[in-house]
Amino acid sequence: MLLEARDVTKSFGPVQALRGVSLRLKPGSAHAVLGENGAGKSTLMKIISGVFPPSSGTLKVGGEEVRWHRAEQARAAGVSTIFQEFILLPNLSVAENLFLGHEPRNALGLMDRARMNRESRRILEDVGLDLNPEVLTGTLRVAEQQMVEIAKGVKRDARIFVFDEPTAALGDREAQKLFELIHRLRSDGKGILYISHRLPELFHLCDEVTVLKDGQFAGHFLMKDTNAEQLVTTMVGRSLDQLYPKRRPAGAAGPPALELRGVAVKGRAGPVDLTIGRNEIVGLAGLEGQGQIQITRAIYEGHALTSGKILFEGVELGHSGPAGGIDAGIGLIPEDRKVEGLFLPLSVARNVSAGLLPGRGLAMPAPTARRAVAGQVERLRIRLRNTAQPIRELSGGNQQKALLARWLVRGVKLLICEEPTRGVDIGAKSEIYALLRELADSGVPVLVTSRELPELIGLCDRIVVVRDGATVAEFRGEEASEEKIMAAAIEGGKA
Amino acid sequence: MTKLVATEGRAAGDVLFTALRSMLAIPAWPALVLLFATAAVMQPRLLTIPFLLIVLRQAVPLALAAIGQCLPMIGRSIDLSIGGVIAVVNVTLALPLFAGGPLWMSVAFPLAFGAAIGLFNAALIAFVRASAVVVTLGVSVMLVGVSYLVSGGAPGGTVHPFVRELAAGRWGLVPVAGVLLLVIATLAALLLRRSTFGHALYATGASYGAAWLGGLPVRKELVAAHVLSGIFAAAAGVILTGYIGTGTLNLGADLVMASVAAVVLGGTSFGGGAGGVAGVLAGAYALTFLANLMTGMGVGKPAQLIVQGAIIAGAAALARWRER
Repeated sequence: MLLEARDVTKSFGPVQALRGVSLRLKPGSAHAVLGENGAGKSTLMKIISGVFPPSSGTLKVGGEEVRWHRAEQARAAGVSTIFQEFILLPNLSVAENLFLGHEPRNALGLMDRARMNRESRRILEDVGLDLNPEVLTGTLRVAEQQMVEIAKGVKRDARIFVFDEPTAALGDREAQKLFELIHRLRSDGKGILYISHRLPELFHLCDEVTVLKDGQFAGHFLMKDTNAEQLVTTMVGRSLDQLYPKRRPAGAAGPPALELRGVAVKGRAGPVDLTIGRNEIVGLAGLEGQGQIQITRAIYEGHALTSGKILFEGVELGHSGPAGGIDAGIGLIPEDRKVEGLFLPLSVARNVSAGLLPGRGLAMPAPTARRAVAGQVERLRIRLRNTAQPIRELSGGNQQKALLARWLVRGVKLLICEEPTRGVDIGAKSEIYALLRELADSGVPVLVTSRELPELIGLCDRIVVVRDGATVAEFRGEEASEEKIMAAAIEGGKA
Repeated sequence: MTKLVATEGRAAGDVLFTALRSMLAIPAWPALVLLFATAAVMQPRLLTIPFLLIVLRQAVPLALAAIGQCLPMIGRSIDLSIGGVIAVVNVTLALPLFAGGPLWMSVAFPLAFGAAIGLFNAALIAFVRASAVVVTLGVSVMLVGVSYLVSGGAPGGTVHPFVRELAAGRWGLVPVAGVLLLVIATLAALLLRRSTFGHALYATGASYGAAWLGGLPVRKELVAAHVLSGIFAAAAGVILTGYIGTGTLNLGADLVMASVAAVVLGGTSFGGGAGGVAGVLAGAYALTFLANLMTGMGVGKPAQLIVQGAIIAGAAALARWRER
C-alpha cells in the first residue's frame, strides 16, 4: 500500500473537520476523493501533504507511520501536491522553479545554468510539455504552470501525486492534456489522489473513489461498479434527478418581460433576438467568449448598442451604467464573484444590504436592513457564524447565496445570473436552482449564462445559443441536449 | 434548521470573539497599552490626568487631520495635500485682514478653502482617474508655494483672539479643543457607520469594481470623501494656527505622514479595513503621546522622525500581513 490513512480525525478548536476517515491508495491507481465543500476533502489532503498532522489516527506512507508538521516533510517522503493556488515563484524561470534549492553547480560553485536548462527541457518533455525552460513562470498560462508543478514532482521522483481540483481553471483541451499525463503517471506505478466536483472526469480517470460527507466517511466504491447517481446520492444524501427543480409547462412562460430586438452589442454584428417571459428561466449557451457576457452587460450596464433595442416591460432601456439598470429593476450576479460581486473584507450583512444602497442619497441614513438581511439568510440557508462575519470566510456556495440575497432584499424585477453555480458545491447548487425557479414562478424572470451545458439543460425553460454575438438557435429545455447545443454553437454546425 | 438554532446559541461567544479580534486588528490599542506601560516605568508623571489632557490638546490638530485622512483612505484613495492646506490656512489667518476682521472670516474662509481643494483633488482623481498620491502631492506643493506668496516669504503677525481661545483655551483642566474634537469625532463616526455615504465608501474601498457594478455612486463618494478631508485639514490648520498664534513657513508638513500613520494605526489600511474613527483617534493620541514620551526621555527630533517613519512603514506592513 502506497499510502494509508486510518481513522484520521482533525479538529480546529471546537470544529471537527474530519472524524474517523480512512483511505488506502494503491500504487498504479488513481483514487478520487469526492464530497461537497466543507465535507473535509481539503483537510484530508492537507494532512496527506504534510501541512498539519491529524489530531488522532495514523498516516502511513509505504507502510511506515509518519507524522508531518510541514509540507517539506511530505515532499521529501515523495508526496507531490498540485494545489488550486500554485506555489511556484512567478519571478523565477521555469528551470529555476524546477531546481529550486537543488540547483546544479559547476566547478566554481556557481549555478550551472546551461545544465539546468538542458535537464529542465528533458523533464518538461517527459511530462509532454513543449516549453522554453528559461521563460518566467509568471508569464505561463495556468495550465502550463500546473504542468510545471507536476514536472517538479516527477523530477523529485515523487510516488504520490495529490491533485486538488486541477481542472477548475482549465479549458477542455488543456484538461485533456492533463488527463493524458495523469494516465501516464498511473501506468508508471505512481499513486494519484484526485479531488474534483466534476463527475465525468472521475469516471474517465479514476479506479476507485472515497466519498466524504460532513467530515465523515460516507462510502467507498470502485469506479467500474458505480454511477453518477449513486455517487451524488452518497455525497449529498439526495438523488441526481432532484438536483433541478421542475420546469414550467410549455406555454406558461408568462407575458414578455424582456425583449431584445435585433440587438448588436459593441464589436459584434449580431443580431440578438431574445424574449424572456415573466415566469421563465432562459439560458444563454455557446462556446466561450461568443458575446454572452456582452449581452448580459448590455442589458444591465446599458452599453451603447450599434443597432437594435432592448425593451424591459415594454419600455425601451436607455440607461448607462449599472446604477441605471438597477433603477430599472434589473439585478446581476457577475461571473467573477470575487472580483466583481463581493466586498470580501466586509461583513455578510454589509454585502447583502449593499443591494439597498443604489439610488440613495449619500447623506441619507444607511439602510437598516437587519431584519431583511436576517430573513434572507434564513430563507437561503446561508451558513455562517453571524451576519457580522466577513464574507470572505464563507464557502463559494454561501457567498453566491449572499449575492442572491443582495438582490432579494432590494426586490428586482429581472435577475441576470452569469455562471450561477461556479465554484459552488452540489448541495448549494440545488438550493440555488430551486431559488431561481421560485423567483421565476413569482414573476421575476431569470437570464442565465453558464459554461456547464448540463446545468443549462437541467435548469432552463429555454436555451438560446449565441455564436459570434448573434443568437443562432433556440431549444426548449426538455428537448435540448448537449449534442444539439454544441452543433449550433460551432461555426458551420447545423443551426 | 437545527444549524440555525445552534448558530444563535453561540452568538454571544462569537460577538465577544469578534470584538476581541477587531480590537487586535487596530494596532493603535495595543500600541497605547505599550506606550502607557513604558511611561509607567520610565516617565510616570506622563500618566497623570493633567498631563494626559495636555497630550489630548496637542493631539487635536493631528486627530482632525487624521479623521479627514481616513475618509479617502477607506475609499482606497489618499490625501497628501493636507500639508499645503494647513500652510495656506495658517498664513492667511495671520494676515491683519483676518486677525483684525470679523470672526466668521477666520472660520468660514479656511473651511471653504479646504472644501475647494478637496473638490479639485477629487475632480482629478475620480473623473480623470489620475493617481491620488501624485495628484494630492502635487497640489500640496502648489499650496505651499501659494502660502509663500500670501505671506510674502516673511510670515508672522497675530491671529484672531477667538481662534487662539479655541485652540489653547481650557475649561478647568479640560482643553476646549479637546471637547470640540470629541464632538466632531462623534459626528464623523456616525457619518461612517450610519450614513449611506459611510456604507458605500467602505464598499468602494473593499472593491471598486464590485461597487461600480453594484450600482454605488463611486465617484460622488470619492468627491465627498476628498471634500471632507480638505475641510478637516483646514480645521486642523485653524487649531494649529491658534495654538502657535502666528504665521509660519510650511506649517503642517509634519502632519501629512503623521495623519497617514494615525489612520493605519487606527486599523484602516490603504483600501478600507477594520478601522473606524475611534481607532484613528487612538492612533493620533498614541503618536502624540509617543512624541512626548521620547522628548521626556531625552530622545532628540532626528530619532523621533526615524521612529515615526518606522511606525508608518511598520503599520502598513502589519496591515498588509493581517489581510492574508
